[in-house]
Amino acid sequence: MEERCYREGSLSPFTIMDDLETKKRREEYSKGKWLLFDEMNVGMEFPQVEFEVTKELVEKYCEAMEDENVVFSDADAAKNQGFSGAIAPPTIVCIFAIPSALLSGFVPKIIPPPGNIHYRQEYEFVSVASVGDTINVKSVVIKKEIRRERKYITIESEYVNQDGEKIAVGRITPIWSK
Amino acid sequence: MEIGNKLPVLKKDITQEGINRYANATGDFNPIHVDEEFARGTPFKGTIAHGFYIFAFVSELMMRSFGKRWTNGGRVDVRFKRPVRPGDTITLRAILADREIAGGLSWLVFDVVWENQMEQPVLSGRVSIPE
Repeated sequence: MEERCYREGSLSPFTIMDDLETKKRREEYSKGKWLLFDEMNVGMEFPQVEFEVTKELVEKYCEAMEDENVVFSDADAAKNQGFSGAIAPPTIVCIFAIPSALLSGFVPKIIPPPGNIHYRQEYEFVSVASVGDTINVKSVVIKKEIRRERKYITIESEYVNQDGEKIAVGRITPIWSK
Repeated sequence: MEIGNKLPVLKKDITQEGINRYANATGDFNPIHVDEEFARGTPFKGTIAHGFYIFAFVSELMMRSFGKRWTNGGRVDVRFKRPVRPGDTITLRAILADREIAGGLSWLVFDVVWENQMEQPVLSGRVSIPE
């Protein structure tokens, strides 16, 4: 039996970042003191970070994901599906779930060490975010363990909008390299 | 839905241009994803896609099938098995594996697996949707 299938077509042409831009971004990304496994403990809280869900962010994210679902751009289509208006993709919160983003509130800058591996990811989606929302991300280390000489850290993040409404809860478990 | 029912599969071609586009949208410029020269010197021997880029395909699939039931109550728990590289084609499959009662709600529980073109799992896990 033939499988029903969603397959994405190619989107607009994309300019590959030139070497200079890549180098600049790489250097910027790599600046900061490494946060080592031994420096983290269960209960450790990270400084809260906030981000605004802008129209540009939603558009760029949807284009990157090649996700053309109209509920992200068309208020009437979204209303037909039971939403109050156009919504942001639920996984837009993932942008702020990588360890480098979770650590972005530390001053001076602290970064995850190079070589971390994304091992496990959990999410509970509770409500939707929309353009104009400000999302607060509160993160805490909930688990730390070593198995077969691999160092696992689980960080739980709660995403709440400007009205105190919970949007999502995520748990990321990287294998920490150092 | 009956146990064993499958959702339509989702297929995505992974390119370096697509990975760069994701980096631009999200600000995640980890050189392992966007710097081919740097990545060649790592154990991966080349660039790999962002984990969240590949992970997020599940939301597209679940949105199409369940809409608000996904955005307001969906749960996902997956493990990363293999890196995804430019040139890979990823196929995401979801099959209804179980019905569970938890927290006073009935849940549809799907086994989900992302496979590359060699039919090797790159991510796998479970998705739960309130009925």
